[in-house]
Amino acid sequence: MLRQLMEEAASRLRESGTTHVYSAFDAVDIQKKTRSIFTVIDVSSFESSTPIYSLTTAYLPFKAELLFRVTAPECWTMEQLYEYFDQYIAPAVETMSDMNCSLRSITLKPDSNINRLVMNVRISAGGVIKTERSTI
Amino acid sequence: MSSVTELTKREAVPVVFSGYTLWCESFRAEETRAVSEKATVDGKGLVTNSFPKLMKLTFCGRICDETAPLGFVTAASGMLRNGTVFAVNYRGLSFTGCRVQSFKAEDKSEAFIYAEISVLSSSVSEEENA
Repeated sequence: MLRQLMEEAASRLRESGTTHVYSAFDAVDIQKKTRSIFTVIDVSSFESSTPIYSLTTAYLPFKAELLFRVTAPECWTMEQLYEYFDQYIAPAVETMSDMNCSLRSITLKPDSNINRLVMNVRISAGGVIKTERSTI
Repeated sequence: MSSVTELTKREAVPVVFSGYTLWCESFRAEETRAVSEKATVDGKGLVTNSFPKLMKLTFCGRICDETAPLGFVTAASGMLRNGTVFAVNYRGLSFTGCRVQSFKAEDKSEAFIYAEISVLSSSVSEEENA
């Protein structure tokens, strides 16, 4: 279910033109990722409430916090990263914004291990997991 | 057993009160039946009369009006004092014979105001063109 959630967020990002989008489950070594800008999608928290049952389906409402980690190429400035956010990430976030989903925060910090700037975009999201009931 | 995880999409619904659009984020409908009970000689209760009371609808949300930030207060106050009868549509339902029972408006120094309005409605039906 977390994989589907990340995949849905990834497809929104790809629709707005973001390239090199990875899920946190991919576990691709950074050396094998692109040398240019890339985005990793993670679920930093997940909370579900009690399920609601219909005759054929169980609905499990949930709240989650999605984290988009945008890693800039080396030598990129803050300004360039913010411009990238405005151009590609913000439109995707806007399509998700409503009463259930909204942008919580953006933080920018250098990752000293790889000497690259990383932007963390936190989004609180709400949704539902629909599961077919095998037995009634 | 297949399972689908998806983000839900739910936007605030605009509800217009006297020209002011309330972006409704929470809605509640309450209806009760008033019953008059009388005790009988053998100690049991007996319903002598009953009738359905008006449906109470509570719309809660935010209003953003740049030209008249608190214009909603005068408009809602006018409706409350004059006993204006109006109709309200909300998510495919049409409530008619509505009167304002109470309202609250809160300005918390933001670009919008928080508002809550309770109306009493005499009838509800499915919206025709919904």
